[in-house]
Amino acid sequence: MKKLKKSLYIIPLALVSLISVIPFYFIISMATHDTGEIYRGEFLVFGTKLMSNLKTIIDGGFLRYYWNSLYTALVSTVVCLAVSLMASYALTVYKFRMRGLISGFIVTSMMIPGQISLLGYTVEMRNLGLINTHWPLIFTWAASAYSVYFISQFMKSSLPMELVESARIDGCGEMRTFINIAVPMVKPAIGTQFMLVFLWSWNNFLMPSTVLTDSRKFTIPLGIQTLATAYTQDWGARGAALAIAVLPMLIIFACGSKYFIKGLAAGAVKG
Amino acid sequence: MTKRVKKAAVLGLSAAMAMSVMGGITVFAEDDYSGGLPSDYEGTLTMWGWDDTWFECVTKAFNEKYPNVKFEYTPMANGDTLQKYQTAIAAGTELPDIAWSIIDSRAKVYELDMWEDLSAEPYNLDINEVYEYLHSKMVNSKGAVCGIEQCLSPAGFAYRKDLALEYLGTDNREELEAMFPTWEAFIEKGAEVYEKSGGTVYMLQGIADAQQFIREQGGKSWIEGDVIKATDTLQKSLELACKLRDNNVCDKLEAWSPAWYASFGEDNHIFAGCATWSVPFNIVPNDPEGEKTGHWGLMNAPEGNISWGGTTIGISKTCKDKRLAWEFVKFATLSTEGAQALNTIGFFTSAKKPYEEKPELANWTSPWFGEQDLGEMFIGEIVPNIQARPMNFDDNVIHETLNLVTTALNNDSGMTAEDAMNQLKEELEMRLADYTVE
Repeated sequence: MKKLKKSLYIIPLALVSLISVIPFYFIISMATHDTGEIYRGEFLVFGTKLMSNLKTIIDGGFLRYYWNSLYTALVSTVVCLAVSLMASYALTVYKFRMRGLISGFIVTSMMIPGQISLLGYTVEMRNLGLINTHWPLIFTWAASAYSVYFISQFMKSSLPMELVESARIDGCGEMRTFINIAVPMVKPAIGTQFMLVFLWSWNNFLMPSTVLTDSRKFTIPLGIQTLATAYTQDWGARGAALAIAVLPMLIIFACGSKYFIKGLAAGAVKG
Repeated sequence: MTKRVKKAAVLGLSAAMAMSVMGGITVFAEDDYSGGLPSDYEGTLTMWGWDDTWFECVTKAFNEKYPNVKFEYTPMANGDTLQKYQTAIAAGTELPDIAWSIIDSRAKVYELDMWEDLSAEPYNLDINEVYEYLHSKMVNSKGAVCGIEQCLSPAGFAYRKDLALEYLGTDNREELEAMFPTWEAFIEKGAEVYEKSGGTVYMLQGIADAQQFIREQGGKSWIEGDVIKATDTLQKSLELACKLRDNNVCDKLEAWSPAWYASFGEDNHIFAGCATWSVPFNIVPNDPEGEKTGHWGLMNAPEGNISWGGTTIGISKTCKDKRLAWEFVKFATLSTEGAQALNTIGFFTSAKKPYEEKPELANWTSPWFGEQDLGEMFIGEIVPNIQARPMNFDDNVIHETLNLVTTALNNDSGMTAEDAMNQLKEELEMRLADYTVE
């Protein structure tokens, strides 16, 4: 009976897992075929064109795109977390006039789709002389309303004010209280935000396609698009590019998943 | 003037002349756009485009003439053209010096305030240098010539000789053309082929392949003023779509889908629409067998050939070196040198002169088509008979709506041409409320 019950859970889970994994398998398999073979549906098993597809994407400057994506995503994430953590700490710990209004403004700004503000942001970047640089891709994360909201909510529930006050009584300065007391308490939130911001920055297509026209500065999504021409697309090379592009995301999620599973209890008040 | 001053002036002028001769400097008037540039001219041109093969071929040839000219090329998906240009204009960011425009969005792109009029001063392009059928596709609603076609894209019908011989009794081009003077004849024979093959062989891959030709034939504009001439220009297309469906003339493959591409290497479809670019992009990569057998042929389509696709290059108003940009545009589209370069990749420039000066540039063969001279067929037979449909600002909306209705018609055997026309009119009235739909 127990086995039957278990199988009732396992079979649907296995099916869902399979459905999730199949696209990855196809991407990797596509990377080993040329476009003609893919069109003929010959990508169910691995082919022999992996090296030529890798050569195509490397010759097309993919390593440069990869580096551009990697460092802009990393810097964006670090900048986003630094600003969001400080803003969240201020909104959670300090009591000042118009705190509620600022919190409300942050929540409201989350409702505005990025596409709407894109044009204004582009004009702003142009006036700052930053078009065709990676700074617009990084600065856009410096004021992430969602990150501030997420971390401040987490901080409210996991950072007891008693702890902050105890630290102050013991002579701990504000910066030290923030770094040594508040930040460790919100590690799970930091982990979650790190993964999300990195993922969003890594996959961002619209912003780079608007502010970058120099192909040497392209990020991966733009680079993959360049593998298409007016009348044809090199699907084999695209498969290879996609397979390599998802690699950092898989590594980050594999390393960071423990934060989701066991890290939520971290920072609890010891009695 | 004192003797000393005169002496100094003469010496100075002599020195300047000597230096220019020694340095190989050619004096040229910067305002004169009709002549060439000095071979050591230095400059940089930016381009956003989607056809690397064309870009590399033409810029390489241009650099042989002007080695100090640099190009900065940004790859862009052709579907993004309108949005990218609009964003750049609105945000005040840089536009490319040489701006490309694909046929799909061209009517809208040409209305953007970003184009130099190539027929006006200082360019003074005589549009008659270009093949006639392209003229209407190079101008905007104000009559300004915003670009010149990169290359010709005339289209006829490619056919599989082996299948034609088996199911139609001949693989001779003239005999096949005589067999299919009209779509009615094509449909009648298509029904026989379907029956004879036991339902495995079709005339075309999908209904969209037939529609591509039917809609463009005749050269009638879909819009006149604020009236969409639906019945006048599109009724026949829907009627034929019904007949094609009812007689199993076309397979059910969706154009540009993987199955559609793969079909070029299979033995299930006798005909396929074939523009100049179809050979390198559709047939060659998907039919490896064809190289050895040369089992393809090119013929005139029933009721006439069409212009299929195409990209123009023009000069943006923000171009930093318009003189150089014009030199490049002329070289790429109007010159014999440009035509010579394009001939190496099986493309043809849009100007007539290169092919009058050097008729051999119009010759081009492909192993997939055996001994047949595709260039001669495209330029000598197809191009002169194309009646191109004039562009309109909202053509793409009509095109999309027509595709939706045709798909519905193809999937619903009970739907008549009249039902389809009513649905089309309703949809158009909803989507294009400013027009009267007739």
